[in-house]
Amino acid sequence: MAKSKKLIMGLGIGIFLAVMIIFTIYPILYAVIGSFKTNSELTAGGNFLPQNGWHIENYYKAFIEADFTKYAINSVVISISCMLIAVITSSLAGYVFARREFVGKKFIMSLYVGLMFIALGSVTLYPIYDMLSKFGLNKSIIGLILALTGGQASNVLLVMGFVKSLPKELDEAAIIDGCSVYGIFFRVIMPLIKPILAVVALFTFRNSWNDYVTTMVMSISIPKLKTLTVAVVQLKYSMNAAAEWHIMLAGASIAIMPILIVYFFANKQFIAGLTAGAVKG
Amino acid sequence: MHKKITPPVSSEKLKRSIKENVKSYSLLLPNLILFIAFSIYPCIWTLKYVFYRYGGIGTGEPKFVGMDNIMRVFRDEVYWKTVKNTFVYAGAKILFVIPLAFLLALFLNKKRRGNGLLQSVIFVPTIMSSAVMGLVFYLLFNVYNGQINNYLMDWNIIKQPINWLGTDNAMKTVIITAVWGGIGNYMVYFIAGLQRISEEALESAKIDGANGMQTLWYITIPMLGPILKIILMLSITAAFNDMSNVMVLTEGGPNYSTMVMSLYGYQFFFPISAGSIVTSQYGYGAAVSTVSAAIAGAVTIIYLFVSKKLDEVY
Amino acid sequence: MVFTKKYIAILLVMVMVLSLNGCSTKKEQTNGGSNGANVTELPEEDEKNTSNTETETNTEKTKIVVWSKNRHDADLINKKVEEYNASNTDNIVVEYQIYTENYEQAIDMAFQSGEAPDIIAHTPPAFLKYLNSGKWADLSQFMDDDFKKTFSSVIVPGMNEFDGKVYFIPTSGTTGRLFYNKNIFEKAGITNPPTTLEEMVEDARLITEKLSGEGIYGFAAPLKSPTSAFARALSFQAHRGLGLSLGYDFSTGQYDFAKYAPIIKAWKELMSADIAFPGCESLDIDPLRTQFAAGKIGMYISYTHAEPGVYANQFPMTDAWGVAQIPVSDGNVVGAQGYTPSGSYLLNADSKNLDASWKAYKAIFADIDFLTDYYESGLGISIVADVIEQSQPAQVYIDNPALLIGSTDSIWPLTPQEKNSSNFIVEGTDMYTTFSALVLGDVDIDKGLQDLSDRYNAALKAGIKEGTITEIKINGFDPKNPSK
Repeated sequence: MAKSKKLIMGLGIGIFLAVMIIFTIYPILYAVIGSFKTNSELTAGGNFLPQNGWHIENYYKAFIEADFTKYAINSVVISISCMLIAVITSSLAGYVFARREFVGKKFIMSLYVGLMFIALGSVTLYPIYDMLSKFGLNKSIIGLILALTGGQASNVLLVMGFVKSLPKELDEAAIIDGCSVYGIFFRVIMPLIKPILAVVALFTFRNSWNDYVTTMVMSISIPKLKTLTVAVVQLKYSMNAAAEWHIMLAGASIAIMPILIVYFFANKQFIAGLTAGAVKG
Repeated sequence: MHKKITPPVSSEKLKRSIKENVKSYSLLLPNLILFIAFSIYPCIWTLKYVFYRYGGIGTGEPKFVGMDNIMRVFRDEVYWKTVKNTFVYAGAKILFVIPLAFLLALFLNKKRRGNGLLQSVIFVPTIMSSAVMGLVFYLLFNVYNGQINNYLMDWNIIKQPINWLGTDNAMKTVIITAVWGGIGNYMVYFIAGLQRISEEALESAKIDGANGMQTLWYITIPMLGPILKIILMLSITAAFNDMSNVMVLTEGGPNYSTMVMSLYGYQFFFPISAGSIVTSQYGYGAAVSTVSAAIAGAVTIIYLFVSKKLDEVY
Repeated sequence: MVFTKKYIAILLVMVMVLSLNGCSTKKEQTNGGSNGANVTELPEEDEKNTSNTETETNTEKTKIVVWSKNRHDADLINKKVEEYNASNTDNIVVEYQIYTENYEQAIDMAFQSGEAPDIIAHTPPAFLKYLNSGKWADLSQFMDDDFKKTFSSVIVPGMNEFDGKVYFIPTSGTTGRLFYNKNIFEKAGITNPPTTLEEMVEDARLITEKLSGEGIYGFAAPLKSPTSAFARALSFQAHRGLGLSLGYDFSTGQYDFAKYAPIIKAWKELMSADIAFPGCESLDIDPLRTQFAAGKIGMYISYTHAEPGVYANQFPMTDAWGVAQIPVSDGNVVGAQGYTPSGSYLLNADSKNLDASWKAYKAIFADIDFLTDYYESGLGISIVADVIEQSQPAQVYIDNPALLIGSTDSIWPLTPQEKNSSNFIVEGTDMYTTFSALVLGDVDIDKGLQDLSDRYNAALKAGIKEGTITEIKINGFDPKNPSK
């Protein structure tokens, strides 16, 4: 009796997991596999795999005709720059907040925390664009990188929390050894907060790679700043591609593939990290 | 307060204090500049323009109109429809995402071969661009050529194509895609929470003769409590700010049926879709966004309050 | 304080959660970092290159930047621009840039940052938005007698001439017509395209009834964007059938949307499940065109300038298509149908090289041979007498005379909303969104239209009171002759 009950439970769980997995990967597979189909095949029937061969030329078309090479370079440059700026600035600020006393600390910190609770949304892009154009930065990729990196409040507080969890004796020992503030930060703190910096880096990279709204707004009058994500979504509105689903899907695949590859390689360690966490916990 | 009472500090001490402050600020400054420029300044700008009427350059100077914009928000029926939509969207998203993520965490938390792989598969949507996937979903759910309708018709489940993106169904479709994008994240949070539950507690429950359901109900869920609260809080803030997925999939339509309040404020500044023409109303857009932020903030505060009250009861 | 504590608690959890995968991401990060060092330099070099060339051209050549929204005529224009760049003696280099997405917004943002191009292809919204703010150069200061003579017929007060200033020279025009699939009509046993609104609904119903089994439907509209769907159809129906322009009655100086009721009711029927192509609510114009090209749609209403090229080049169509005048209630035509001037360009008044802009503009876009080429290639319907005279129109115009701007078409004066677009603040939904709500929803149509009139009249009244909107009322206004 108990055994059959367990079996049914197991079966139920199995079906549930199977459904969830299909639900999760089906749209991605549709995009990737669809990007190898012909347009008529895509729009005609419910076949999962391409029936008339795999059409790699869709990618060629996307790269050449839709100018994706340029946008791919933009994406890479922008994402990596944002990542570097985020890691450097938020780790410095997080450290200062966690360890040092200074005039106005309480006030500034309350601003950082307070702004987390005010979500005005993307309307703030207008004043940001206005400000960047006053500094002449709206035309260059630097302006877009800065706008995408943004205030970093959450990253700073994340690093701060992590630094606070480190024993204070380490700093004190370093002070006795004659280290300056900068020495303490770079020699003592930096190596210890690497795990949280990796998190900041990965998430900033992901966010800037995937961002649509900010990049779209900033590139409205300067199309050369477009990233892959924006270029792909705008295929929907361009005269030719709007009806060419295979090109749209090839574009979508080009945009999601790099991040999938990053994830694929980081994935093993990701799971190792999960199990390690379980053992420690 | 103390500092003011103490006698004047010696010049050397002052010097050192200044030096220390300079050092602190030199480290803080790179981030502080970004923070002021990209977080503080835009907020102040937006709050200022709540009281102005302005349509951008070439349309005359900004004109101070006092509370007019705010009053207009309160009588704007379309806006309150978008507020309602936001609550429906956020509510439904959370209602599906949290239990599904919890169940997945529960089943995949066990150390068994393949679970690691399954976890990382479930997590994949989290790393995807919601805008790009919005485009993919737009094709998938397309009424006429979309693969979903094609399958359903091939399998004779339906005779006529379902109008997934029509007035009646668009919100459901948007919610499906939001659930798709949200589960992985919260599953990872839940797994982290489950791993904090000590083995001993579970073991002793087993020894006491509790079955799986009982352990789940009396040990696991109560012990997840504090983390569950935070997960809920995160999911509420996230759901109230979602925008780009709606923007790409339905553009807020048809007929405002999927327009959420963040997107409604945005459209007074920028076009939602290429080709749509907006009459820029920066002042009114600022007012809409401010009221929306206040609503989202109020929901968060109410949630914190309720969860605290519940703490006291139990 | 409660907040900070809560917040720190959240952070701790996040740290905890995220630090689990912390180790895994390390490798990725360092990889990224080393790549970054190589790649980040690229755009800076890029910047330098462009600024270098800019300074070079500044000393040697005058660079004139032209923005356009149109892609359909890009080949011809690019060729013309290249020719001009190679041959002109004024040391002018024209850079022709196409903005297909968010064109009007791009112009806004370019003005905002003070970097607007020298020449901007005219679109009504962009033109009207900056009409009152002196952003557009007065072309009459440059025009010589020859130029004036050639284009005298297309300089019309209220269209491109305001207070004696001429802002653009339209060379072609576009308006709305009914496009229908002849093969589908034949299959359904309909001999002629409909001339009345009632007939149109019945024909569409008949097609869907008979042919929906084959996936063919009577009528479609790109309702994903109500503006896109109704601006190309309903606004022309109102000209012809009601004598109103965008809801405005020039003879009374009031908005009167109540009169739209029969048209909206017909649309509601056309959009009902037993007539409309499924999924119109989420359809864009280009996907609609592909379905029309594939022979799945009986008829739809769209612009005359774009469709012929689309079915010849973009989405080649095997079925035969035809064009007809837009049907009106009971066939009772009470007004001339408005047309939109196109093929025209605005000069940025703030441009540092205004003279050179004019020279380039005149040599490229106002060149009679070029305009003839344009017309003969079927890219746009010419309204310039000299061009029409000397050209052999494209075959498609000969086969479908309804494509041409004819005697029943006219220029309409600007309504108060068009004239003062940025100061005309309507509370609630605009007319197109309201139409869409009435057509698709189950709101009472008469009530909804009355409410729409009230809101537009309130906006008009408020603007007049404030002095930001000028009152427009034309005594003895004749909708059949609106430009008089």
